Amino acid sequence: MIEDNLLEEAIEYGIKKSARYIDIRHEENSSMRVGAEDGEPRECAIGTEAGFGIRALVDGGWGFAAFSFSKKNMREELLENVEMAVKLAKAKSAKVELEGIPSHQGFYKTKVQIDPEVVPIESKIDICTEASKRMKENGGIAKSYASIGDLKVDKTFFSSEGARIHQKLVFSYVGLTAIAKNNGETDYFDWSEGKQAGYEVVRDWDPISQSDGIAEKAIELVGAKNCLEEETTVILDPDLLALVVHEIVGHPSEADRVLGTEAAWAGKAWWNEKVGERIGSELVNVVSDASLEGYFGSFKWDDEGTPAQRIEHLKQGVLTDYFHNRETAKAFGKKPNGAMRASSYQFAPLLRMTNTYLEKGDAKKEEIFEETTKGVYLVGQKVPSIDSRRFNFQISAKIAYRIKNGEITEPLRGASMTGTSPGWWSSIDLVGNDLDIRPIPNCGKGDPMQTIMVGNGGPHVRGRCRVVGSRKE
Amino acid sequence: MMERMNMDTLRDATEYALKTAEKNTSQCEVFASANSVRTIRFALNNVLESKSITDSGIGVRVVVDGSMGFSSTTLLEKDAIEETVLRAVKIARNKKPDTSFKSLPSPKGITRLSTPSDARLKEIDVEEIIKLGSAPLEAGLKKEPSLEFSGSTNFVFEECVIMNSLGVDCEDSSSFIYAHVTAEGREGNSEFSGIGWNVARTIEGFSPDKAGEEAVENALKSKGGKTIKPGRYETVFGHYAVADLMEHVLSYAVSLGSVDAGISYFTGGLGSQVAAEELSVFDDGTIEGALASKQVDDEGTPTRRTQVIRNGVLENFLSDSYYANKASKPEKLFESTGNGFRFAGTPGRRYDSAPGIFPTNFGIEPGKRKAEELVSEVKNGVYVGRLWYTYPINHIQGDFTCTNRSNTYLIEDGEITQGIAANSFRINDNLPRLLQKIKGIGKETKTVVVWGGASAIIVPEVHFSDVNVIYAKNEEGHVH
Repeated sequence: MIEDNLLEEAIEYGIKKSARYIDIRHEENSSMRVGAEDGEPRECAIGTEAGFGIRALVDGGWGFAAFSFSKKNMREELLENVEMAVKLAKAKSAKVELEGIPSHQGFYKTKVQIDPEVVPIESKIDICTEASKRMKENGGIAKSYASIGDLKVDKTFFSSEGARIHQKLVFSYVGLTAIAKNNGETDYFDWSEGKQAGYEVVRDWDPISQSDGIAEKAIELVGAKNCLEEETTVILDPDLLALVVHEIVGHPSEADRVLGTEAAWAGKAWWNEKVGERIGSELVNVVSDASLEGYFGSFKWDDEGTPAQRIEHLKQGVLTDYFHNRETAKAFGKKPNGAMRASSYQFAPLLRMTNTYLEKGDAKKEEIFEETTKGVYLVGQKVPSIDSRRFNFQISAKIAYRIKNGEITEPLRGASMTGTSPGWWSSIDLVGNDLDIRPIPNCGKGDPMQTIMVGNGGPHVRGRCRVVGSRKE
Repeated sequence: MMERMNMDTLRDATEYALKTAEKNTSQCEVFASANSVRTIRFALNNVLESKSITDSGIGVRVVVDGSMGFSSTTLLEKDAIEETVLRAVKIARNKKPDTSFKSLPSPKGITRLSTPSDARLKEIDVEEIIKLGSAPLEAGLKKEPSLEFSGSTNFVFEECVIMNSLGVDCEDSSSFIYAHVTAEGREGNSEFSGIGWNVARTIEGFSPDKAGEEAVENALKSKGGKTIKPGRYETVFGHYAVADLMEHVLSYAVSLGSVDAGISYFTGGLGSQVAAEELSVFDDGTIEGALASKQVDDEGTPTRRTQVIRNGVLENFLSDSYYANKASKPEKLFESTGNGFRFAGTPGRRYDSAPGIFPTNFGIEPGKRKAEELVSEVKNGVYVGRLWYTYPINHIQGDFTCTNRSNTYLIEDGEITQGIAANSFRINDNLPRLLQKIKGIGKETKTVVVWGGASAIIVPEVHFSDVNVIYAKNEEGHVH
């Protein structure tokens, strides 16, 4: 834990060096990951990191300096990097103005039932070993992998406006992968669970008990027919919907994309200047809520010190609001809504989605299937590709099934869904009353690119789009 | 001014960690790195932010009775190093052996590069970084102020020391600079876009103006707002588009780790014709002056040239020591190709992960055709210079999809006639299939670093006979 007076001194130093505003994040993070393959332990690693990230605003320009420190020279390195941030800020040719926020002081920590650190590492390794062994014992499984991991983030945020915030976040995750072979074909099925919580995530999901099910899915998949290309009715499970919401609502709702300040790598947003316009059917309600506890996108304050809150992006199909930091809020005449986050002290914060999901509707899951005469059930998220305005998309599913007369029938391989954002959201005609917010561990954005954890999800939904199978010949 | 992290401080920390680890392990390895990354990022025709990251740390890999443990820390004081070693040892002690692990690498020397790094980049002052980093934007604005520019310049300096208990004792340093500029504009309902870039190992070799000027030229050439219908097209992929395919859809398939996992579409394919005869693919970490050349990989194996595909025949996979040992059988032995690197998070090789398999300078050997000859051989088709979100949607099959972002032109009767609107079509195809459909390869190569990429991709333009387009927008924005 860093001493407050050191951060106070550094902030005073930055102001003295001509910063109009300065904030400092100090982080001490630790991570653990163990893995097993085919019943044998594999990658097992523990890491610790500690450093500072400093943002300085000078004459309307941002400068950022991050460093990992040595304990011996911490104070000198901190002051030197404050000075670096101030000097870098002078490169700016645009004038940044910040929307005002109250300065918060407080402490928050993740609710944890079982501290991951108190669970012996050998016990985690044994679970991975056993789960991968069980998967491999299923005939037809060529390879199996299991992993368990956790991340502890201990960050302190001080700003020159008086924010004094300390947050201790704990994330836990577990995943299984089975690779099956059959008649010269290979395919895989994987699944993971993750929450902002303790080791109870692993205990509750119980990877050993899940292992046969994962193996069976891989075997089912490798023996399946290739999905044929057609325009059809589709039902999405919450895991695939999570990625759809992530890519075509979450990302284009970041106001920096809307403004064009992330154009080079993140792209822009097709729905720039469309707030108030209909994007989807009346059943489509997409929100973000960082104040929901226990998910990958949960926190109490963002990395500018704005409190976590609920944001409505699509309300009954109408585009309602974007994510805003202090800078974009000023530009749009809005209030910052708590979505500024950095992956670690090494990076400057960016607008990031939090827990962004499609709200549940009225339909029972069984009814969605019963009311579907012909279509495809798409299960599990795989890989996305979206154009640079987040208008056209293609996202692959882990596995698909043909639906005939309300029944889930034969499995299909290589399926992906493709369409346009308004086309897809307008086609939604049934929204389930189930809800699952799924873990997305590696959302990339920024330059240099930083990956962050977010929560995305929703219920089962029905709509129409084009499904595409493998192009392999 | 604080004393900067340097090779001597890294060496001291590495030596101490190795000495500490050797007491309790059968084998051990220590990797320490110190990187600095400076970024000038611009958008909306302004410099938006200027950033500096200086990061150092140590990663310890130990072997106890055939079982491995890895631990890392940013703290290089003795007590932190001792704690890090102890954690790695504890992990190794508490697990059963990994029977696929044979040994850490033995010393094999290093590949000497005459100028491994530009030391100026380590100490370059902020004013010069700002000036050089902003230059691509300024060059673009000077050439065509009506366009909207975005992009960045990154300056990276990395230093590392690698030692292991078998006698590996090397140090390496590299420097690289890369600038990217996207220039965009609108004509009625359609967007046009051009990308320009410049990469260099030294400040002297860096030509920031080129990035801005090329972005303008490519953007203006992309004007026209033409659209195409779904179907199959003869397509010339420009340098950046080929690099995207190499980075995201080919590189994983030529990694021995992917072959071991069974997720490479080349599994079982060594010695077979996996591509048209025109195609030869290499990885070469030893090219003097090339962006990703290194003297040694991150487990102490000297870099080298590996012929991955020769005249369409798959000859080799890229590997680190672990997967080379794991895959070796009496009938077929593998050795590390010097591709065991630690890339994760910020640019540069990093202390906080065990080695994985990454290319260095990963490239396609140039062909014989000039750019205009490649285009002249296309009766009616498309030139696409920059793709977007080019990802393998089904890894094992090699299926990928992407949209056209920049530098996209219509080819009619062997000539580029007008620009095709940005974001107006989606390619959905299969790379193993397309590799057999190569009709021509250009003679001019360029070096590309894709967003988030750790390798340098050295590629020519490539002409494919038959590329599948599944979606397109017409001039009014309606979807076919």
